[in-house]
Amino acid sequence: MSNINANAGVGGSFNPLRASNFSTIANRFGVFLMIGALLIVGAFASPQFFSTSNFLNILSAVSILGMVAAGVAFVIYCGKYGDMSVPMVMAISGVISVEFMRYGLVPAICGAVVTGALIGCINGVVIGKLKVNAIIWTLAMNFILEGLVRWSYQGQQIYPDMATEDTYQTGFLLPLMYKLDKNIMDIDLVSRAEAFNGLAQTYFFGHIPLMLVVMVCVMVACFFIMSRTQYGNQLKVVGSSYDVGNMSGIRATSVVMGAFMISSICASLAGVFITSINKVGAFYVGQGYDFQAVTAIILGGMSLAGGRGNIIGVFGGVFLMGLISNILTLFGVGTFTQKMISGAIFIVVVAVNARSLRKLGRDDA
Amino acid sequence: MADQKDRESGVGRVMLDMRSVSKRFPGTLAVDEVNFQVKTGEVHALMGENGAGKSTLMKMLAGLFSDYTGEILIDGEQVRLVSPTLAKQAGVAMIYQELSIAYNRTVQENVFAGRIPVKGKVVDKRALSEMTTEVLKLVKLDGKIDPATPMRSVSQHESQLIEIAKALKDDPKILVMDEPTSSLSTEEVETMFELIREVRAKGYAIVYISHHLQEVFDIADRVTVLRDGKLIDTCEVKDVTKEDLVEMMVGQKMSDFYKHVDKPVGDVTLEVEGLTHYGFVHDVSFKIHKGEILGLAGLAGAGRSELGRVIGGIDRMDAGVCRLNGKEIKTKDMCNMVKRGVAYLTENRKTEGLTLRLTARENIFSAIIPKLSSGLLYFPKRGEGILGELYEGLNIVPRDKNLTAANLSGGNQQKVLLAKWMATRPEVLILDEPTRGVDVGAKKLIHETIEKLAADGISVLLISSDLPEIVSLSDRIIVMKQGHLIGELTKKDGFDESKVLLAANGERSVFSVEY
Repeated sequence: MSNINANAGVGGSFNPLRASNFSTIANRFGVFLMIGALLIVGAFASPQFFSTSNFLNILSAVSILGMVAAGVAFVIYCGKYGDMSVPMVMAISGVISVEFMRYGLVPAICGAVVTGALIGCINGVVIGKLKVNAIIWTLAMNFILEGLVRWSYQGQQIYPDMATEDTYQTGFLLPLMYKLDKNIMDIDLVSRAEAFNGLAQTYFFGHIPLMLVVMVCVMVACFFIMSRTQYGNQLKVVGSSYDVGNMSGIRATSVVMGAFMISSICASLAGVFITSINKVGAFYVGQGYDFQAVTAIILGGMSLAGGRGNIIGVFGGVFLMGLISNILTLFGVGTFTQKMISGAIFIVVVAVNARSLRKLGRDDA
Repeated sequence: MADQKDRESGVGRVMLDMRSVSKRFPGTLAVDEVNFQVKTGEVHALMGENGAGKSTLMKMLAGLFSDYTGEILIDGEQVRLVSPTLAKQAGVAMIYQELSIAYNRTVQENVFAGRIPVKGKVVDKRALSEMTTEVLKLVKLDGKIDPATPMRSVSQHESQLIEIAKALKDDPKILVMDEPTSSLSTEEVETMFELIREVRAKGYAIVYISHHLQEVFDIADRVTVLRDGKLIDTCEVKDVTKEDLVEMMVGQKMSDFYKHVDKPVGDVTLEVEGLTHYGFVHDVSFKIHKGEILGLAGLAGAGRSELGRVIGGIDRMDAGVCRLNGKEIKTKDMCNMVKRGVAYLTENRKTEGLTLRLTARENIFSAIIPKLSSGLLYFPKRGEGILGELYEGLNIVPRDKNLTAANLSGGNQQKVLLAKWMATRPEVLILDEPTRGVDVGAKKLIHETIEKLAADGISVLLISSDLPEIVSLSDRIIVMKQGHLIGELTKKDGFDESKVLLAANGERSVFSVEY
């Protein structure tokens, strides 16, 4: 009691940070403690648990989630709670990459990323400049994009390896391209489609999947941006307190815009890979990644209040999610039950975070 | 009705009697053995500088403190006002400066908030409307305002009147008005006064708090002056002059004008011409020279902070020109202004100044992140030198730069805020209340620092409500009133606290240069 009073005297007001020293520590290292605990549990689950191939399995299973989470982490770091348009950014990017696949892999990926950046830019302008609630806006954006994709393709899915002439009749971009350039048909579509579908099946040294390598690269890049660049440090100030950032000569609206662009770009990259795994471009491929990403990020110690946490923690959170699912599978728990469990985890981590938000006096908690 | 007659028959009776009341806050005695009496049928003005204890005394009356000492008698009966409900029951009605209005609800809902008449479970709209019309009659707004109008579309002036009506409807014995005219125009003030005179004639005891000297002479019968929590005097308004009042408020200190060193005047660094921010600042022009501390004085709401914010690039400049070192600049972007060397230190340290969740280091660096970067990369190590310098110069304790700002004392937080802007190496530094809410030691150090900055050739625009501060630091003082720059006090002619206070109240005779 006297301790709290002393703080109140010094800080001028109740100080949430010192009072919750335990939760600060739990936030920062909690995820690695949990991982440690689960590794012990895993040892009992199955003798095959501690094998290189199982760990590679876990990691490649969360590669997509990792890419998405690394991007969404910027939005949460910025104090905007989450990017709900992630699922459709993934889907659209996937579709675009299938469309562009016939020009080669590089144009396909570039097209997807540019599309993602564009959507992120729109989100950023609306949320940063017009100060619209981020969750509501991105959720609305998600619906609009879903409608757009389903309408453009008349509700059909598009398959990379089914690019025969009749697919040029359906679709949105394709008929247009076909009209502009009839030579499209001369491209060797089958080999291009194989190359595209092969993205997900590319392994380094025979075991390490390309997706995992890309995910780690994305994580490293995001870590670097967040902690070592001018932008990342301005983001920290803006994320901690928008008003203070604005009153420190930081262009806070642009900083917020940047966060949403990074989020969408990462999601679009993830979209390319998930499309390649599924061998289909469709509106549903990204479903659930919005919530999973937020769960992983908060598990990783990043606070919904913004400006706290780091990408290493996010990586931990992503790995933890993979670990949980892996162990549950090893115990023979079904997919549906796993979904319920991951929903429960989401509720718990958000609830715990909301408590600390309230302590900080954020009334929108 | 009987009640009203009762009151009228007793005009001049002592209604409120506060006997040697005191209230202690940690560290200060905010109200110290004050005796305060208000009679029925009088308007009693309560005056004093910021921090003199006026609002504490009135909060005591409103029942916001449970631990005051002394006696309070209302209508001869001793009462113990330890909760707002008790105060209300005892007959005290408060009308605060910041109105308590739900803007999205209608007038009637605001007037009867919490006591809306119902028929069964449904709001009795007709009864509500009739009752509201009855209440609005008290302030002569019946027929002018439909009770069902949303509060949003009611003018500031009318809201103020509705607030008074709301207070009157409970038929209080004592009415406390805190700066009721601060946001009104001249004609509206006159209507307000007429209303107050009428209410007075009905026999209410009215306490009137105001910073505006003229208003006291216009409306009040008696005046009580507080200074540093102590009662200075209570007297009839007709027996005193403005100068007497100012002397009572300020105290007879230092008649030696701060005339000392006549600093050589440097070149003009910042020049503002015809600056206008609609609604707050109108057609303001002035110059600041190199190494000069220019004080900007004025009452609350005069538009001082708004002027500072416009120059700092936070608020829009609707008209006017701003020149830095003779070159015209656009002030619409704070980022550019900081780059050019104009820094604005906010008066709201906790919401706009510092992110309390980050460390002192991160806070100090927050305005110079681009300066510490090369290309896209950020190198905080480059700032260590300047950080150490600032910590030494401002004596920020503790020296641990990784301490969360929330864990620093108010004084040290303010020093960190000052350090943040000093780190940008500004040419023009706008300081808005740089010592608000800090302890004496930190205040002294900040004052010394400001003088040192000026000696190093930085132009300082000092916005302050602290009279001793602005008088002792400034080389020149410009004065704002209702958004206009009305005059200037120069060191050559000398100025002291009384002069500044009179000037802020619009007393033009004290100016060296009148605008």
